[in-house]
Amino acid sequence: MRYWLGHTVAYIRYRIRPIRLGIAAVVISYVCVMMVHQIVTGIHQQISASMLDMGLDHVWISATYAPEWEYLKEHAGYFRISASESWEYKDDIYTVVKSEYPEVMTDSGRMIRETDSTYGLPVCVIGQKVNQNVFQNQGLHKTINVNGTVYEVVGICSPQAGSLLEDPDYTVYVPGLFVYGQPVTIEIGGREELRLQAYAGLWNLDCQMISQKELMDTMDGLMKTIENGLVIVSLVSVVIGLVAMMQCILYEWESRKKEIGIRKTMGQSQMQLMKQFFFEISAFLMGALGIGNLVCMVLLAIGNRMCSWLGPFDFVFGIVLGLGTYGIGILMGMCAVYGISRLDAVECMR
Amino acid sequence: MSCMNCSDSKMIVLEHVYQVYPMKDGPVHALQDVNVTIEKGDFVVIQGQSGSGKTTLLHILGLLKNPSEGTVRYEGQDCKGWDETTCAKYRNQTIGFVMQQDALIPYLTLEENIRVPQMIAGKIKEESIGKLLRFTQIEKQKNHLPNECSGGQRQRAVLARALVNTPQILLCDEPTASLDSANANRMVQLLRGLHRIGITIVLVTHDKRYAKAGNRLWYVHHGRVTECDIGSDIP
Ligand SMILES: Nc1ncnc2c1ncn2[C@@H]1O[C@H](COP(=O)(O)OP(=O)(O)OP(=O)(O)O)[C@@H](O)[C@H]1O
Ligand SMILES: [Mg+2]
Repeated sequence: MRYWLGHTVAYIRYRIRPIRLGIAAVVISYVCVMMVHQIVTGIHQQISASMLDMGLDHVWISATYAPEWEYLKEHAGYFRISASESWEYKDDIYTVVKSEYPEVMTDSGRMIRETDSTYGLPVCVIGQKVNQNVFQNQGLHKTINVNGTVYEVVGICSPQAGSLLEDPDYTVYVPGLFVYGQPVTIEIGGREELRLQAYAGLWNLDCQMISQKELMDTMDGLMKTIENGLVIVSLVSVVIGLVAMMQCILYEWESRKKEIGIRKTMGQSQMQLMKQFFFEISAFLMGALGIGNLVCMVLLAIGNRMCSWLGPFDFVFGIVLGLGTYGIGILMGMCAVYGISRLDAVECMR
Repeated sequence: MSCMNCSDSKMIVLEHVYQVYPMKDGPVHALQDVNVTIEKGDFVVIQGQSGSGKTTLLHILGLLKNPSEGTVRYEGQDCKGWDETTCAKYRNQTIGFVMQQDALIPYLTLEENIRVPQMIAGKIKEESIGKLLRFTQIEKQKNHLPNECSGGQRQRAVLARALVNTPQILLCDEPTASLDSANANRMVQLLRGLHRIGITIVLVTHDKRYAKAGNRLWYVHHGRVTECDIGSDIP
């Protein structure tokens, strides 16, 4: 064993030039993958942390068609917006300036008051199902973010009878904070979809409603996808690095083939040849991985001075990537060696 | 001459050995109907023109190649059924090879090269290596890489390596081909010395001067082997 390792060392000394190239290929691909991983996880953690700072009680609502929403805001006074009327476009609606609140009871909390509208207080009242599905029945005093404005939930409506088209339980009532103090009704037409309706059939706004937790889950999913993609990319790049290395080491056919011929003539069996090359390839891979890890650590030490979110060296990922690289390298190397070691001694020495 | 009847003195027997290489422009008959016997303690010199089949014959004698046809017996056993590992073990333990040209592993020093067969066998005997280095007079160069040594030194290292597992038979394929006459003489002297201590030797050489170096002389011509009288001239 000591002697076989001696051969490996001797070989590395002797062929350091081509080997250097091969090792460099592995090191570069390893470092690239590792650093991209650090950057992606760093960003991920950064975003998660800042979202956690906001608290998990947030619900985000955004109109898909922001211009309409803006228009609505500006012209809120001209519309009577509610979820419980039959929607028909009427010219005179434009002139109705009457403040009218939906006649619903609240289970807990209170209904929107005229003062809310007058002073434009950021409060809202939510329907039963919104409370259940979005807030898990804990909606009171949580917040809802509608196109950037944060509304506090001050009341939860009692269940109301709805129709096929509308379900008042999927409703968020926001005071018309604008000119005339009209209540704006935001109707949620499903679990996540929030429909904001302006009657006249002119505007039929689809809104997205998403809780902070869901937003984070979505982002986590996205990051996972990116990381999975990264794993595939990394495998490919590691394989490319390994191919380059094997190219440099094993496919120096002319010199190695003759050596194998000599060894076989001396009586080295195929098994022993495989063993010898196993040591050799292992040594190269370990060397490359060692250097790769060192480079990563140095890069991270420097990188963390500039942007601290890069975070410390991810040992788990490093170990997984390292083992993967080693495994693939050994597999590829041994396949190649198996091919050569089967050749007949005379053919090898020709 | 050794006794032809006692079978245990027979080292290698070839019976009706043919070697054919099928080529695009017709088959090449490298060996044709070879029937020879090597006794223990023989020193066989093989001569013949280039391309006559000497190296092929040596490869078959050394279990590096199975003949296309015919039987090879090693110490009375038919080698036909032997698998790779058995052959490899036999080559390692019983046969020593001195190859035609530079057959050293380029990245190992002479000493490490000499040690390879022992490593393969799994037993390292340092003292035998020291002895061989002295015997072949390459002690000073033992830590040099092959390309830092002269041709004579390299060839002697190959000889030392062939001897390191104390083989019973030594197969030499033109060990003197790339050497000047002084070095070539030295090489043949070494072989003679080995013959004296009982090692069976087969020496392939072009050099007519060494035709009578051994106790037997074979002449190979177009793949056919004829035994010559040591006294007579080579055809
Ligand atoms: N692998 C092979 N494929 C095809 N033909 C071969 C092969 N090996 C040897 N030969 C042929 O077999 C014949 C004998 O070759 P061999 O190497 O035994 O000659 P040799 O007597 O050793 O010659 P030299 O003195 O030049 O070394 C030659 O004609 C050669 O062309
Ligand atoms: Mg030859």
